[in-house]
Amino acid sequence: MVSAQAATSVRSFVAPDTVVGAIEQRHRLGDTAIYLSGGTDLGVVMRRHLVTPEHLIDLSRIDELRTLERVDGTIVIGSAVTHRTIELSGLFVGHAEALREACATVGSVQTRNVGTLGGNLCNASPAADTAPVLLALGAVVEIAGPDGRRLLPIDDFFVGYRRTALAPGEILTSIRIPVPDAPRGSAFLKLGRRKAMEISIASVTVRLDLASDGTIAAAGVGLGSVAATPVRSASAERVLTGSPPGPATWDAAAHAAVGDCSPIDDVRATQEYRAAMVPVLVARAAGIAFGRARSNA
Amino acid sequence: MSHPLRLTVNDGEYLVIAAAGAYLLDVLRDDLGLQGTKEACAEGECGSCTVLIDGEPVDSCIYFAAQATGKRITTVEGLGRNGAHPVQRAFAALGAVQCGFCTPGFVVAAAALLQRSPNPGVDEIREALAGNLCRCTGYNNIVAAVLAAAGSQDGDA
Ligand SMILES: Cc1cc2nc3c(=O)[nH]c(=O)nc-3n(C[C@H](O)[C@H](O)[C@H](O)COP(=O)(O)OP(=O)(O)OC[C@H]3O[C@@H](n4cnc5c(N)ncnc54)[C@H](O)[C@@H]3O)c2cc1C
Ligand code: FES
Ligand code: FES
Repeated sequence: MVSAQAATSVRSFVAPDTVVGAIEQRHRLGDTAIYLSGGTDLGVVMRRHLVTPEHLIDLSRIDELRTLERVDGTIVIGSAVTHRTIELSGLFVGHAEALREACATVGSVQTRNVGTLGGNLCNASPAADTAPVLLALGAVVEIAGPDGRRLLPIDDFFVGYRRTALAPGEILTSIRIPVPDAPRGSAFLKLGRRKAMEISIASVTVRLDLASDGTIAAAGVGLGSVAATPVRSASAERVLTGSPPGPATWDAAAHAAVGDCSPIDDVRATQEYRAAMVPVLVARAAGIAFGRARSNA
Repeated sequence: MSHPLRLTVNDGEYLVIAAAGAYLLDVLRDDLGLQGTKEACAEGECGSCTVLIDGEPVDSCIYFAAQATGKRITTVEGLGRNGAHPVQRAFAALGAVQCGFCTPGFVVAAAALLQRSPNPGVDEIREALAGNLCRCTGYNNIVAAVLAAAGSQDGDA
């Protein structure tokens, strides 16, 4: 019975207004403290008493973590920017449509008004919708800890099932998406059993950068819910890079992508179904991404 | 452990002594006696507990009360203060209510939709209400009621 009761493990709730302040609080309070961004993952697991922290450190009042801006050739997204803010932002058109699309499919409006990009990544579910998108877009994350800040390619962020490269006490501060001069298009497709409020059975992101001769100069392919972590399909990317755009290339990339998955059976779908759907989604997403890259040219 | 929280609910200021890990839903219902906001799933899936935080719908069952300090909280009681809200009138008129348990959540989410988009289409309404579940009505009357409420607001303007 989950009947209305407070999370009784919690003894204090603090809301620092700087990153340094949050890290100091975490150091002072120790390992029974946990960072809170929107709480749409944490609130649920705490209701079920699966996580029982003694102290909550709310990061959502830190201005730096809530800024969304373009700085020269990079879109910089603070970790506490909500899915809803990204969904409604014009900053991604022509550069990172797939991220806007992924954020727009997270839960309901209620979920997206509170849930954040940083929370989605730090929670590190293999089904986190934004994770494979950021892999495909070649994002870099900034991490702050007691000893200062570091940058990490997002490829190195997901280290295992629900595990990230964050050391205890570290904060994910921002997500940076490089914006190339070359025409770029990207697309996110999510397979679920219903239209809204669905955790994905599989998701695919394809990002294509076009060369001046019309071939594919660079590509990124990210896959969700097909392995213990969100994965990048290096095989599909190799097929796409340098190839002429078109259905034959999409099909070749689609088949290559299957080799980079190790799906499981779970309540949402079987391994076979996932393995069969991945190529369909990759080919379809590549076609959409290409159409966008051309119109962004 | 309890600590004092200053909350702004339906334009009133309240000082509440609540557990540090109290969810907003429980503070609204148990401490402030605002029982229009309902609990069903208690995990963000059904929207029965929807309230507005600075005008935007949020599931209060997985939102800590302390997250709401310094923000404007609006519950269904706050929408109906000057007579029934147009959405409430339309729900009653068009049979969008059966057992009524889900209704406050739908009304709050729909009111927020009409605030930002006064003339939504059917798809936009379905999208805005995708986080609200109803076991009784089959949704068609709910969508019709929101369309009607949008029309009646036009008339009022
Ligand atoms: C009804 C419902 C539907 C959902 N649907 C989807 C969906 O379709 N797709 C999807 O991907 N997800 C979905 N989710 C999951 C959730 O909404 C997202 O993962 C969301 O982005 C989490 O963000 P948050 O800010 O709420 O995280 P929180 O719950 O605040 O935090 C999650 C975890 O990350 C840690 N953390 C948060 N921020 C930081 C930081 N900056 N530095 C270090 N650690 C941090 C926290 O300590 C916690 O362990 C859904 C959730 C609900 C309740
Ligand atoms: S009770 Fe909050 S979403 Fe169901
Ligand atoms: S009217 Fe009964 S749940 Fe909606």
